[in-house]
Amino acid sequence: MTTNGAGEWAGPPSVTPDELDVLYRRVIAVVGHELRTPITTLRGLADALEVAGEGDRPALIEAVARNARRLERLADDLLLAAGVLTALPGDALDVVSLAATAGRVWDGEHDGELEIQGDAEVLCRPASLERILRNLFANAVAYGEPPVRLAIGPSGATVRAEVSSPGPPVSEQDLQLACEPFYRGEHAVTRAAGLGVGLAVARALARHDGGDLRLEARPGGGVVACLELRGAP
Amino acid sequence: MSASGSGLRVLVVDDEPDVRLLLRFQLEQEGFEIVGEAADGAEAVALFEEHRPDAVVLDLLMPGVSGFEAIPMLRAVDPAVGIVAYTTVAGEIVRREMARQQIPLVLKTGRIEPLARALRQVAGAPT
Repeated sequence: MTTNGAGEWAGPPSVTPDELDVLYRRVIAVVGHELRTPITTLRGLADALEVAGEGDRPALIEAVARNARRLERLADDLLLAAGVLTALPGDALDVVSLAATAGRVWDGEHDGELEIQGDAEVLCRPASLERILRNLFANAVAYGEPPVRLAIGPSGATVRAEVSSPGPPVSEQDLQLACEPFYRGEHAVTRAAGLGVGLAVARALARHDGGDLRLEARPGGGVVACLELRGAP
Repeated sequence: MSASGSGLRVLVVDDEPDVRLLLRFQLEQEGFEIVGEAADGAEAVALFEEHRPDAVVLDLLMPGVSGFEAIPMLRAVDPAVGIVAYTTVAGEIVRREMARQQIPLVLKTGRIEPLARALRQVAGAPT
């Protein structure tokens, strides 16, 4: 960890060409790993569909569609994380309820309960908000403990939505770098597979809609993802 | 249907629902009986205690209690538990650790034969 004289984090360290080469290889390895799961699942599903009876086919076909969508999202995430602006959604801004959107996203992806406090209408691209929340919830579930909590409230002219879950203490370095593409904290590496782009994509989408995303330490351990979006006019 | 599974009772542990769906279908086609599905190591130990399967398909990298952490927990319940590590990629360290623990490691390729063979092996059935 890079620190200044006062022992505080002083930004990312400079890297040598050799270190850059190691990072490059790690990114390729992580991307390959993340691609393999849906690809091998699709291969197995294709084999399974060849021999499946009518009763089994609907569930297998649904799984094919899910994994194809997952690959599509992975490709989009990689492009967004790499700063490819054409991957940003071009649909129109709309007024949506944060709590209703969050509940829908959570129910479609996770078991257990999402604790929602408050609500507000925000001006954003609805598909972007769904994707932001999907990534924030996935992060909270993968690296924290239940319950996952969403607290919504006004913050000046904007709306602030905090996604938090209890967990181990997180270093200042991890908090600062977690929204950078392909960064995975020490705890994250041993906890779950992942590209390390979910938060970077969420931040890029939030900024595209006039908002922002940053991480803070949760009192008692864990992380709070602080999402700011424009309030509805 | 192949009878190679010969009704061996298997617990499937993987955090990916579609991987579990596929494994259930493919292993049943091979003649195995799936007695339970778990999404993490803690759930796996509970289901193992309940069903006492002949073998466990164990994903290594899972949120919550990982497969690595679940191995000693399963062995505490039954030192003779038959485990097959089932993972997307495995570097040299993981391969060495599984070899040290005498746990067969099968890579996820979408093909079921290598996994079926390893399950029969750890369950003491003809391969």
